[in-house]
Amino acid sequence: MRSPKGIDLFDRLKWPFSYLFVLTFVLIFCIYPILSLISISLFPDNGGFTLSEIERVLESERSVNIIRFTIIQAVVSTIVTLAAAFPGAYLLSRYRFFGRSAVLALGTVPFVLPSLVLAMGFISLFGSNGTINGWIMDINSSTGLSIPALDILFTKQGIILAHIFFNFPIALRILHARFDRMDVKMLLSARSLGAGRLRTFFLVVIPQMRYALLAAGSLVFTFCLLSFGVVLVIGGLTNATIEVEIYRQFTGRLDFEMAGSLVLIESVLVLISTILYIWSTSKDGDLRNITLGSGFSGTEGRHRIGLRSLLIIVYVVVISLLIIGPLISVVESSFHRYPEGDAEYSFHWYGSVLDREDDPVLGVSPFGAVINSLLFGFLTIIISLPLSMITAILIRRKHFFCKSFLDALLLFPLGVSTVALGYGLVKVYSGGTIPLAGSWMIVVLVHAVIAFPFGARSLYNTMKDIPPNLTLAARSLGASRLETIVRVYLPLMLPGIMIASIFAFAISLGELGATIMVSSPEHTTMPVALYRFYGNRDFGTANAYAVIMMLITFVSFLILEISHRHLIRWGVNS
Amino acid sequence: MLNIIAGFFKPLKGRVILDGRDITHERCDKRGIGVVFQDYALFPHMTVEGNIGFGPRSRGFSRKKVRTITDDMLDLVGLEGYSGRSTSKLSGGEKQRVALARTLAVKPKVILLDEPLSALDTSLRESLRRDLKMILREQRIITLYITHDQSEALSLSDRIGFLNDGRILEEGSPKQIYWRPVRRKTASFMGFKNSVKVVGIKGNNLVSELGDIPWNPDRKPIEMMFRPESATMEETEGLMINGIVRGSEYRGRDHLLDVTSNGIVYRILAPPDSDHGRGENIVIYVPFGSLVPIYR
Repeated sequence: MRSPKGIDLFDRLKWPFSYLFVLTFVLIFCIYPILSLISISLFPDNGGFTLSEIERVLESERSVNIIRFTIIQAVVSTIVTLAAAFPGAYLLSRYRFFGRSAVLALGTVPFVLPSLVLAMGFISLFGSNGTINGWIMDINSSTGLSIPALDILFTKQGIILAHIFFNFPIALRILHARFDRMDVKMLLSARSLGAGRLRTFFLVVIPQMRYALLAAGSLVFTFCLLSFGVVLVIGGLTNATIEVEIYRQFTGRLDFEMAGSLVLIESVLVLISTILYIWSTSKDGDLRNITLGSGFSGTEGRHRIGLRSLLIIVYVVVISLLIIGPLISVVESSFHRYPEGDAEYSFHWYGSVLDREDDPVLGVSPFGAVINSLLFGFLTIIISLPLSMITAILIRRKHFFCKSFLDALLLFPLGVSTVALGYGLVKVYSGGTIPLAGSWMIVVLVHAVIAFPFGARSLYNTMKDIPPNLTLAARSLGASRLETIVRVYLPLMLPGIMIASIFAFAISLGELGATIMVSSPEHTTMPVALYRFYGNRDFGTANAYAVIMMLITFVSFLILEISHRHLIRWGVNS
Repeated sequence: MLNIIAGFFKPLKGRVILDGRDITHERCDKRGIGVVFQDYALFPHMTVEGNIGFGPRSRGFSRKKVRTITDDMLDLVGLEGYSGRSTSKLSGGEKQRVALARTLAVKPKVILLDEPLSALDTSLRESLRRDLKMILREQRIITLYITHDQSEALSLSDRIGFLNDGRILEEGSPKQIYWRPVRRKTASFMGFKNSVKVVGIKGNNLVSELGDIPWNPDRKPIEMMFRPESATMEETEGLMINGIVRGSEYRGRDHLLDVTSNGIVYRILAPPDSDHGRGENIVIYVPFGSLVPIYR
């Protein structure tokens, strides 16, 4: 039987057209550029289909080593990350203790901060001239010991360590949210049925957490595969993953067939772990409601003052230091200068960032890069927000013939090599009918492509919390469709719109891989400038950029937090 | 059905007629039909005043006029001085009053109330029920009140429609529905728990499985139903049931007995001081006057 058609606030939004609109955008600015790169490898010299280019990659010792290292670092990073996050997630969801909410808030830091900021922080903390080595040197000279200096810069271990550090909060977030949804009574009944702590853990806790572990693991694995800025900065010239090698092939070695093959190989690896992620979230209903963009849930844990307090304190302190340490370190280094070998504090590096003279390395003044980043950030909000909104409305619809396809599409930019995306865009749209390459638009468009799925997620989450009766009530009180949208729907959507905007801004601010490929010199952004200065061994200026980016991110999330408080006072989302 | 009347759903067939005018395809914001939702659906981002003034503002009334209407409405529902409050700080009963005031503020031709009291606790429900009746009487607005609660339906309405599977099974005044239901489902909902099959007509009598019933039949009912409280242990003119007590439930003011006779279970009320054990033989009389004929 046909069901009667209900009125919908957005039924004027003819869905085939809006669907086509979003799909076309993703196709033109994401899927087609990537496919065109892969086709270089599969159809070299515009000839017929061949796998010989792939074979060439697999026969080259260098690229096999790179592929092997990429997978190994991703696997090791994932396993250690999960192992470190699991007890933390458990503690955070089961116990209430002083500093718990601070740890939860800290956990969001590595996720929202641009990866280069964290990479710089990591280097200034653990690098050969870093804070920790400074301490080791001090200890050695004062005690006569000879503790070997830590040297993680330009090493494989450094990359793995950094990946663990970056992905730890993501794993913590997913596992913590899943622990929060676990019924404590189930654990208690297992205990009352005679199971010991260990049995309960292995027979009740682990089976319930397995999909969460799998989901968190596959996500971390994907991020480790696609990580670009971190590997580029910490790995140096000698240690590369597939993503960095793609960058080298496109920019330096100019072996496009090799690069195309690497894009294909990386895409396959990403596809496998994405499928694993989708599968594991579909197996566990409680996981579907956990999104990366949302904050930690505020479920109250149990009070506990006991023997385990010490363990908790140690864990909290270590985690906090690991997250805060690099950030403090990068701030401190940005004020450090060594004019005659001795350290002195100065604003010198900030002076060079604020310089308005054109810099020959950048092609724009150092301060111009700051302005560019801010402008691109705002433009990204403007372009991505409508796309996010339409996508969220589309996902919201109940009957939808390829709804799961659209859902998968939303994960697409998450799983795309940004370097390849950037290069693909330049390749496809230089000259011809859409000569975008070299314009500022291409930078904004690529940022919007990467950012809009995140926005769509957070808008969708807000949307599904708005009771449909509210808009029906408004209509029955005589408000027209437009009036209902303006006076009821949009005000209620405001928290989601704020989150989507700030995330779009933050993503644009920190994006390196695609930007470095598409931006012409006069459109250099802060991450690109940071990398250029870093490449010229001007660590001070790079640190200053990192601190400025950190500050901007901090301010924008402060705005989000404050506006959220106001909105929550309305009772929205409560 | 409520969604179709309010215009939230387009019906596949059938029409909605108000005052002799077909409004099936009229937009829900132009119909002049007010809805009070079960969960109140108050706008969380507006104050009490903002909520009540929402409709009048949509009509394009002046700020002053909106204010007058809002104050009048707050007065009407007994929430003077609440205008600046946030809706999230209100109690359930207060939310209900605001929802009602918001709907009345647009002076609808018809007001639909969808189980408006079901989310409230019992004592509040009864006092609000009285207020609701008074307010709606005073406003003289046609009200469609949807409820699962028998006493709410009986006490509030002028006419009751008994809905089943989206159809009106039976319609009538509260007294008619309570005392003389003609449909099996209606009767059973109104407390006629026992049924006696009618086999045929013989002269001025109905022949039932428990004996003849004096009747002036125009047509043959399929069964006769009676309430547990109609049955009595004292000998009266009526049907006689000779059965065995299968179960007894003490309920304070009475006993509810399950009595079986010829494999049929009857639910009978016995006085609180009575004492009937399981397996006891018992004779019950059902006065002819308390039997209600069921036609379908």
